[in-house]
Amino acid sequence: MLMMGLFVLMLITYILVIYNKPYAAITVGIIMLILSAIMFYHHIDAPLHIEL
Amino acid sequence: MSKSAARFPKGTQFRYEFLLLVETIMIFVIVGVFAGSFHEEFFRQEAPCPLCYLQRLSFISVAVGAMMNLRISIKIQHFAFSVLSAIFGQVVSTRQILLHICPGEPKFGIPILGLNLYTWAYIIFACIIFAQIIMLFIYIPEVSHIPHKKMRWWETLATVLVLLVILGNIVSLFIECGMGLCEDNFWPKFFQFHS
Repeated sequence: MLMMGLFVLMLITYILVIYNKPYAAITVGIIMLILSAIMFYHHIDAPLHIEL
Repeated sequence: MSKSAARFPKGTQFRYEFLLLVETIMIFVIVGVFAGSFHEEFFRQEAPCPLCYLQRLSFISVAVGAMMNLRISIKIQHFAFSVLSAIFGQVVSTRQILLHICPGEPKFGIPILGLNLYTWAYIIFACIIFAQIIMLFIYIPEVSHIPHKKMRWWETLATVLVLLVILGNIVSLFIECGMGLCEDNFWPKFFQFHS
């Protein structure tokens, strides 16, 4: 679900580029990257949580 | 003054055309990478993991950054977006390489030309960053003032292929995970622990 949300955000970024909205596209794209980074952080953090 | 010369300030036409060409080639390379990964997924039954999806997302993000240059105009922010995405993708692939780096540790997926897909992803992200840096050397601010009129057919084709790649990934993700959590070693444990 979370991953699907990221891909849907990517699709929204694509649509914004097609409709010539550069600032909105970059904003959505960066939000998507931040969410991906949070997801990735949880991935690298997971063994620590399990050990705790 | 000719129409073309009026459109392009002095000394910018070559740079402009070159940057557009390299961005288009980059999109085609990324689409080729996806063709390979879809082949692995559907014909060799190699289901992607969450880290693989994050790498795929970074590849698409790089392609969308390149597409901004093709579709809107050549701006330094668009290069920045592509470089940021490529760096993120490289971090994710480094993590996956390190997960399987120990001798005797099982590798994820079937190697292609002696390297695993995540190692290839790392190399391709490095090449993308290198190419973007070269393009930033060629870029001059005057280029960003040139209005991009009409896309050529190969640029339009690249744009359509990026859309197909995004939709293909959404379908692949839906097949693998549905609307729920992706089955992997990590996610069920993580949510079990936090519930």
